[in-house]
Amino acid sequence: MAKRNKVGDSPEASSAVTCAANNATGTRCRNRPAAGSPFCWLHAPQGPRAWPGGSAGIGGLGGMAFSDPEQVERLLRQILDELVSIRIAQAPSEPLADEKALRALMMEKVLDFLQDKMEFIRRRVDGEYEVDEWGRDEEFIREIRPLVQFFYYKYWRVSVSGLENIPSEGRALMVANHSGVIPWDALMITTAVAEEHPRPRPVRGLHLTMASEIPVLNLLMARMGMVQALPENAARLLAHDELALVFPEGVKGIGKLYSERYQLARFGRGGFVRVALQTKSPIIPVSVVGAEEIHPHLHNLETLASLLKVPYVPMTPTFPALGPLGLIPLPTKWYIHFDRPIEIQNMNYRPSEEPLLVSKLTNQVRDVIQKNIWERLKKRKSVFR
Amino acid sequence: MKKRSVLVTGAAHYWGGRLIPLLEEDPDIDTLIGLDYRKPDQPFKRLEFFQIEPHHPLLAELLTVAGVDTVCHLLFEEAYSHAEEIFDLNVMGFMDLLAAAAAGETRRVVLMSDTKVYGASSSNPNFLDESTELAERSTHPYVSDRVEIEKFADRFSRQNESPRLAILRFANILGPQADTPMRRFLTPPVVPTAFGFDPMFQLTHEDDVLAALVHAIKNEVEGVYNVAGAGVMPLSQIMRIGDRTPLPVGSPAIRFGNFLFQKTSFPDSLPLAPEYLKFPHVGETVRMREDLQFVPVRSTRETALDFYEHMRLARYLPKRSGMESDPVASEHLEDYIQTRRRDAGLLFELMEEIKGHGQEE
Repeated sequence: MAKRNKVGDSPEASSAVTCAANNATGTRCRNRPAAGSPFCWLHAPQGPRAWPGGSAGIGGLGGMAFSDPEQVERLLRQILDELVSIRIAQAPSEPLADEKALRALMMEKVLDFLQDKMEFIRRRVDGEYEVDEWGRDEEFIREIRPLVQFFYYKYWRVSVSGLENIPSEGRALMVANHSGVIPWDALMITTAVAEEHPRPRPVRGLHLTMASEIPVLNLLMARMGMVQALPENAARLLAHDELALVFPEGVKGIGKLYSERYQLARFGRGGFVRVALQTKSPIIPVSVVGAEEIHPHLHNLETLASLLKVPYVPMTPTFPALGPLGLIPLPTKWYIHFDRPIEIQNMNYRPSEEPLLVSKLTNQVRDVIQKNIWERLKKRKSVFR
Repeated sequence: MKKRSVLVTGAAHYWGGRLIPLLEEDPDIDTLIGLDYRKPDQPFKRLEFFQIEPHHPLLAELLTVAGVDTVCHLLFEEAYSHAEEIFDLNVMGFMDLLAAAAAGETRRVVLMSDTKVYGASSSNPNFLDESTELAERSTHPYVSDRVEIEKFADRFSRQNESPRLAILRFANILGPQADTPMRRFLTPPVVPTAFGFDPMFQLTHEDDVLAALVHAIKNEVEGVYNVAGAGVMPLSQIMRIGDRTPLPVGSPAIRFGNFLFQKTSFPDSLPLAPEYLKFPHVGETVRMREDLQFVPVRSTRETALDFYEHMRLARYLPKRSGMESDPVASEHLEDYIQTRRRDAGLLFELMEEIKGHGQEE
């Protein structure tokens, strides 16, 4: 597993200093010791290992679909405890019994894990699962959570600020800049609220209509809680006191060239402001820095795009030169900032003033986002830091 | 309170056959008239039945003479091929009915429709309210006829003061008895689906359909309403509840198959146009609950469960087609028994009397 090597503190024999403990087989453990400890992360007797930000987290198992990191943490600690107790009870000169016990233990855990997954699949096959009226599947989100966490904490190392501006309950419309050729920003903003908000709540990202015509992808997006970006959908979500996330730049945002990065495109036709006014929802400007560089879009193959009837066919340093490998995004450092809500609930205006108000608010939101992006870019030393 | 007079079209069809006995029980409805182009299979208690089509020239006369205040239009032939005579019956029949109703004193026409009139497309919002524009052109005759009827109804109600229209757009109807497109779609063990798509579906139970129709007839409602059970479910989940195997087909293949089979009698097993397998056509039911003040008993999930429970049981039930007893017959039988008993009782008393006389002597 490539991910394992990249992320966790997995075995690296080249290191001179090794862990002080013995392996189950009785040989010397070759793992690198954790910082400030003679033992490696596997053999450390207790010691709090901070999940998920810590250097020796379980994130190394990112590729495996454990349903709950706390559960995994508990499980591993249990294994370790039992390991330690076995070690104390038996002399190290009898590795055979040791290994047997460990093997039985691991077997049990693996079977439990498989049983869990089989149960998940069985319930899908029998139709015994719940999705909400928009197609969001809570259980599916739990299943893929470790993978999403890997991208959030390890790959893009997302740094969040201004979470206190997101209300714990009630409606709000988040407006963000859109970028990245393949737009991962919606998922990362959703994850930021789900992981780091004191009261995590689902974010309903509104995606392009185009995406709902793509087989499989439309399903994945719906199950992850995304909704097609239509004024009717946005209005209904907000009327039901949900947290909606829109990208007014739309396809113009994600398709922009590398040379135009961080220059906000036109904010649609102000439809999002009209929906916010209509449903009396505050607007939270969200600025994302880092996402614009994950696929440096050097050139748009326009002829091919018009032939394929897609908005753009990007040429990046790796795509299409490396084929599907070119779809791997760059591990840039991301910053997400949630700005103070623009309160428009108690705005008094005549119907004749609405068009002007819409255009003013659209520009205000755009300016706030643009300003926050520049603020961040001023401080940023490198794309990767 | 003035006694009501109701006319039901499609009396010999399934929905008429289920609705009329319910209306017959209602003491407020004084006159109950049924129309259809064929004879009903089942006898009714007090329905005045006429075997005529809505094109009949004397229909306006009938509505006036009987003082019909509410017409319930259920006559609709589900067709999967573009047949001229079916179009004539469905669309032209409705036009003639409305014309006759406008000429008479009929105040209201209740029309049974379908949420499929919105069409399924990628630009549909997840929930469609009643003001959404109808599908522009559908290749599926079932949908195109429904849309045609609705468009005519809309034009008519803008131009004419009376009769007012009450249009109930039912979501996919399912139930143990009703033969509907959704039932035909979900019955076979392997159900074709569109690869990579799993649209949300809404279901309405057949009993709720009848309840909604009775509600609309009795409570002088007008306007357009989506009627559906609470909740939505992905299509695959509905199939999984019934243990049906989805057969994912690329959507061009479905379209091509549809095109081929429309020329044969096969299309009866392709009850949904391919786009309905890809994109949602879910109706918003807020107006149903708030304005129509109607709440279906069964939710979407309960409807699916009830349907498939019946389907499992149906294999073990004896077939009793055409063996139903006449509701009037049993009353008649009771009367007969009562009369015979009374007669016998009189005879007995007479005998006793004669006997008594004999003993006295």
